[in-house]
Parts: sequence; structure tokens; C-alpha cells
Amino acid sequence: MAAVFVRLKLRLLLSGLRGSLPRRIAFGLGVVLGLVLAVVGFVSVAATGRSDDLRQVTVVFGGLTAGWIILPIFAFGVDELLDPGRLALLPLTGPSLMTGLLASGLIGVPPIATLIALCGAFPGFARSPLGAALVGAAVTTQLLMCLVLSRAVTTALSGLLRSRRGRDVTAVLLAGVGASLGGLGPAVTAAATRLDSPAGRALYTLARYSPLGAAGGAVAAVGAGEYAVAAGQLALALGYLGAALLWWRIALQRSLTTAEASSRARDSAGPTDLRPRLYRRLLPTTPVGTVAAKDLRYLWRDPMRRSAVLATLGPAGITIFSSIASGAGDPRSVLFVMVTATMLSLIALNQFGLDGAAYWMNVVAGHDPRRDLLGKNLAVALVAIPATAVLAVVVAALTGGWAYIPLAIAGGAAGCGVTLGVANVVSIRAPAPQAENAANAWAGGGGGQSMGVALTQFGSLLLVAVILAPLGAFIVYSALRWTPGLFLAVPLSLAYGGTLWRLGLRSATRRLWWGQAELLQAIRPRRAA
Amino acid sequence: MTPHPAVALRGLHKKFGETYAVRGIDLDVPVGSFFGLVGPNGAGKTTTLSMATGLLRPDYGTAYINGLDVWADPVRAKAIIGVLPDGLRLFERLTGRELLLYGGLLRSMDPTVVAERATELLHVLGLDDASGVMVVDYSHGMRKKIGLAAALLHAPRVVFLDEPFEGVDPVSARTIKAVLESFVAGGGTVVFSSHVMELVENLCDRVAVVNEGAVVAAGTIEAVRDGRRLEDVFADLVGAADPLSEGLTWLRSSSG
Repeated sequence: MAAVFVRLKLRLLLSGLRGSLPRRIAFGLGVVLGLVLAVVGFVSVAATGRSDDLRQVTVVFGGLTAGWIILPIFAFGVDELLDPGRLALLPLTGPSLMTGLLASGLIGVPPIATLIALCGAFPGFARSPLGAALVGAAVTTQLLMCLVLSRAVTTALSGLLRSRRGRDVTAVLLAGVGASLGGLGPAVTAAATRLDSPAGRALYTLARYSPLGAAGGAVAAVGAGEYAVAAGQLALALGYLGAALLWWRIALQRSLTTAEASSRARDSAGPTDLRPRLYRRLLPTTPVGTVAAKDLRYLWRDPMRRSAVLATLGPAGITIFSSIASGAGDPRSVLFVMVTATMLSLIALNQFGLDGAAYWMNVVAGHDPRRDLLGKNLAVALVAIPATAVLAVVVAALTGGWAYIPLAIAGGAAGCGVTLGVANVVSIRAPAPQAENAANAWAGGGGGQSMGVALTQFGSLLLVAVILAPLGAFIVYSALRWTPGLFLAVPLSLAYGGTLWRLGLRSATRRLWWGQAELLQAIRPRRAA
Repeated sequence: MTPHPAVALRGLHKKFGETYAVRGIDLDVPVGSFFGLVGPNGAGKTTTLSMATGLLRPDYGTAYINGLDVWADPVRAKAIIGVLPDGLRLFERLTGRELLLYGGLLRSMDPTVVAERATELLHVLGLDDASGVMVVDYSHGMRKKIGLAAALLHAPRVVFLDEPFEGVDPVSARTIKAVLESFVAGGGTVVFSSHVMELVENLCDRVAVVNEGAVVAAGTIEAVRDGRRLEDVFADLVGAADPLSEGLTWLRSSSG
């Protein structure tokens, strides 16, 4: 049965690449990037076997598992080329379905790159045939653990998203995880490099006995020649793997058999307005205002977009407060909040893909497509800039840095402008269709093109960073060395962000004016399997 | 009075990869007609309608609405058409009423007029109670009806409907039929695709049969039918053989 699934996945992967040069290029780049990371990983894992502290490998394995769980949620989605929803009707027993999904999940760049990296444990730790056998078992268990946990977590979250209360719980949960990542990230890294410190010891113990690093603990024990301990760790890891598989299966079943909770608006009968109440006075009833109103509604009503907003605001808040805590209330901390606007604006990178095939309503309305771009940009700006302003005021109240508020807002507006300028171009040239009604809300809709989507997003992020770097450098220099520069930076930021936004808008409008029908075809979800 | 036909398709071609979905469709739809576009699955009906409404760019050829070229003068041409496309992908997380407001305001209509017409359309189509419910929670028939309402809200002169009756219960179908008939009685033109022959026979005054991306017959219902049942004419035109002339014997001989 597993062989059938593997063949099916390979066939789907190949037919997805056929006939499309950009997809093949994206896939090729993905393979190269995966290979580079795999080799780096292999060398690093092998090197921990030669280091003084063999325990480090446990933490490395744990970090890898954590990455497999966290990255799909916040950035890349999971590669659900075989949508479990379509397999649910097949007369397959649970175990053979799970084996098949697992086997097909092993086909892809990320799992193969992970496997190569993990294999660094052979030269690093296996010093006898028995040792090699134990390392082999640990590596296999670790790889499966990564795969199963990433699927189980996203599937369980998708199930939660389907219930009304679950939607809010999930959003808060994600914000919390994002926040703790922002806050704890540096602390964890510090502890991982010094395992002898109290924090390091706690981290090691946690990694070793948790599902994240149990297999890594086995590898470390093999390296130390403690084969009995290694066998114990391995048994623990296998136990966790079994439990994770069971969890995945239950989550999958629940997700497939639960309907989405109905979502009646509160004022069902009375006259309603498309514009959210908060923005009613601000938005005109012109096409631009209408597009903005719809996108603002969607920011809150679409679980994916809401999660993205909360997951951005959470870590931003925590990072700000932790930096204040460590910086002993430096008034200049107010300037940190300008990053929030840029991060919130990133949602626009796929602003048309998120609309999907429903965008036909705009196409058939036959108005100037520039209004679509203006409306969408307006919606993002109306969230990003006020959020920055509110955070700036909060931080100013805590640190007394009231004087820095104008620059924080202007800098935020510059980040928002540059990001939207880039996003306008990227969202039209490289739109990513979203999956429809998949059992897993994080499944990409591009027919297994998650790699291309990830590369596009990463490239856009890099471009935004490069464009903003000179402005950022000027503000940092002024804050540290040359106070008059801070006054100059306010108009400079506004002009810089405004100019780049206009450039992006102009290029995107020209493209969209003659390519609206093509864009519509590109954002229709592909039916993969 | 109007010198132009309501819809004129000229030499429409569309290729997907190596296969032609539409290979040279020419068609005139007179003003005020109730026009049925019939054909087997994959004949190119949806592709033709998408190209006629500006949603899919043709490889060659173009479409005229009241003499306006959809692809050269999209803004003016699109202002007078209403569309209910295939697949009914709508903005799922707007309520029915919000969806109608969205469509109307996108066309720069007066907000008061949009609100009044939305209320009226929701009432006529029996969606009063569902006006505050998100489209994601609508049944299939309700989706077709809200899609039809969105297509009619700006009082177009021509509406294109892709399979408007597919999967719709008889009560909703009656409502849709009544609305469309009154639209045609008022001088509007309806072009719709279907593969339910009885429906086309009952509703339409004109029909075009499409097969393998080309028109194989077109004209008034009476002319195309020529005294026979439309279903039989259709089967002959698309070259369908007697489905049970061979095979499936095992299905008939199975014991109950």
C-alpha cells in the first residue's frame, strides 16, 4: 500500500511540474537550497559528535523537530499534495492509510534534506556496528517524528478552526506561541550553547525526555558508548512516535467528519454595512473604499488572516516589552515598534491569492484595476499604521519617550509603504492559490508548489529588508550618535515609503490593466489529488 | 431598433496546453432572447462563456456585447452584463447582503440604490432570513440564488449564467425561472448553459448546440428541433451511440 501512495505522490509532483517553466525553476532552486541546508546540517551534526559535549546533539535534534512543527504554521504550510480528505472514502484501514500518508510525506525536498542532515550522526557518533544500528534506528524515528508531529499539529489546529470558539482559541494560541518564540528565542539559543549553565541543563533535560529530542538523546548515548541508555531513549522515542501517530489519526478523523460551525452575523435582519463599524466614517462608498472594507472584514473573519495578524502582533508586543525590560526603559525603545507595521503588511504578499477564484467579481465589475490595489493597500495600512501608533504610545507611556512617537509612526508608515510596494508587484507576478476546503488549513493550494511559494515569500522579505536598510541605518545612526537626524528622519521616512509604494503601485497597475484575466486564472485553486 | 445583436461571438479560439477547448465559435444572440447553450461535458460551454464575459482571454477572436468589444473596451462592455460563473466561487466570508453591496458599490453605484435593490432581490429570491448569514454557510441552491442576485443588481442588459439550475431544488428553480422570464419580458437578454434538455426546451426561444469546441447547430428551438425531441436531436448531433449496445452484462445479470 505504501508503494502505491509513493508512486501517486511522485506522479502528482511530476505532472505539477510539467509544462510550466517558472514552476520548474522554483522547484530546481528549492532542490539546490534544500541540498545546501542538508549538507550544512550533515556537517554540523557530525561535528557535535567530535565536540566535548555530546549532549548538544539532543538539543539539535529537538530544535529540528520544533522547526518542523512551527515553520509550517507561521510560514510555509504543509505539503498536502495528497489531501487526506480525498482518501477518506477509500476502503482503507486506519493503519494502512496512515502508513500510506507517512510514506508519501517522505517524498519531498524538506524530508529528504532533513534525512541527509540527520545522517551526519553516523560519522559523528557510530563507533561500532551496534552503535551504527542504534544510530540508524534513532535517525529513522527522528525523521518520522518530525513528519508526524508537523501533520498532527496542523491537522488538530485545522479541526479547532472549524468550531466557532475554536477559531478564537486557536488565534490566541498562535499569538501565544509566536510571542513566546519572539521572547524565548534568544534565551533558548543562549542556553543551548552553554549546556552546563542551569538554563542549559534544564533545556537538555527537557529535550531529552520530550518527544522533540528523545531520539537525539539516544544518539548522544551511543556516542558516549552507553548502549543500554541509548536503547532506553530509543524506546521512549518510539513510544512518543506511536502516540503522535495516534493523535494525528484522531485529529484527521475529527477534521474530516466535523462540519464547520455556522457563523451567523449578529444583526441578521437589520440593515448592515459592508464597512466595519470602526472604519465606517473613514471609508468612502467608492470602489476603493468598498475593496478596503471587504479586505478589512476578511482580516478578521478569515481564520488564516486573523491568525497571521495576531501571530504578528503577539511577538511584536513581547519583543518590545522584553527589550524595554532589558534596556531599563530607554526612551528610544519607542522606535522599535516601527517594525510591527512592516510585519503586518507582509500579509499583502499574496493579496490576490487569498481572494482566490472569487476575484471574478472584481474582474467582471469592469472598473480600473488600480482601484483593487488601492483598496487592498488601504485596508492593510489602516490596520498596520494605527497598530504601530498604539504600540508607540504604550511604549512611550512606559519609558517616557514621547518625543519619539512621530518618528516611530513615520518609520512604520515607511515600512508599510515599501512592503506594500513590493507586495503589489509580487502578488500579481507570483500569486499563490489557496487550497479549498482541505482537511488541513495549512495545506498550500498550489498543487505541491509550497517550495516555490516559500522561495517567493523569502525573496520578497529579503527585498523589503534591502530596500529598508539605508533608512533603518540612518535612523539607528541618528538615535545613537546624531540627534538632529531624528527630526530629519520623519519627513525622509514618509517620502521614502511613499515614493517606493507609488513605484510598486504603478508597475503593478500597468501589469494588472492588461492581465486581470490572466491573474484570475493564476489564483484559481488547482485540483491536485 | 438596436442595430447590434445583444451578444456576438466572432472566431473564438482557446487552447489549454495542447488541446483546443474552443475551436472557432461564431454566434449571434438577438436582443431580448432567452438563449440556451447546450453541449456535453467538456464541449467548451464554460470556456466560451468565460471568454464572452472577460474572465478568460481568448487566443483568437473576440466577443461583442451590444456592439462593444469585451476585450478592447472592457469597462463599457462589462457595465451592461451580469455574470453567474461556473463553480460559484464567491467571497465566502461576506454575508449574502454584504456580497450584494460589494458587487454594487464596486460598480460605483449609488449606495442607497444598492441597498434598496439588495433588499428587494433578497426578498424576491427568498433569502430574507439568510441575508445576515455568511455565504460559506449557504446551501447550494442559496448560493445559486445569491449569485443570480449579484448578477442582476446593476440592472444589466445581458446576463450570462453558467449552469444556473444545476443542483437546485425545484422550488428554487421555479424562483430563478420566474426572475429570468420577467427579466427577458422587460427586454433583457439571457444566455445560459445547461445540459438539461427539457429545461432548455421549456425556457428558451433559441438554442446553440456545442460539441468539441464548435457550434454544430444554432437557431430557434423549432428550427433546431425540427419536430423531434431536443434530446434526440442533441444525441444525434454530438454522435452519442446507444449507451447499452454492448457491455455491462454483468450489471444486469447480478442477483438482487
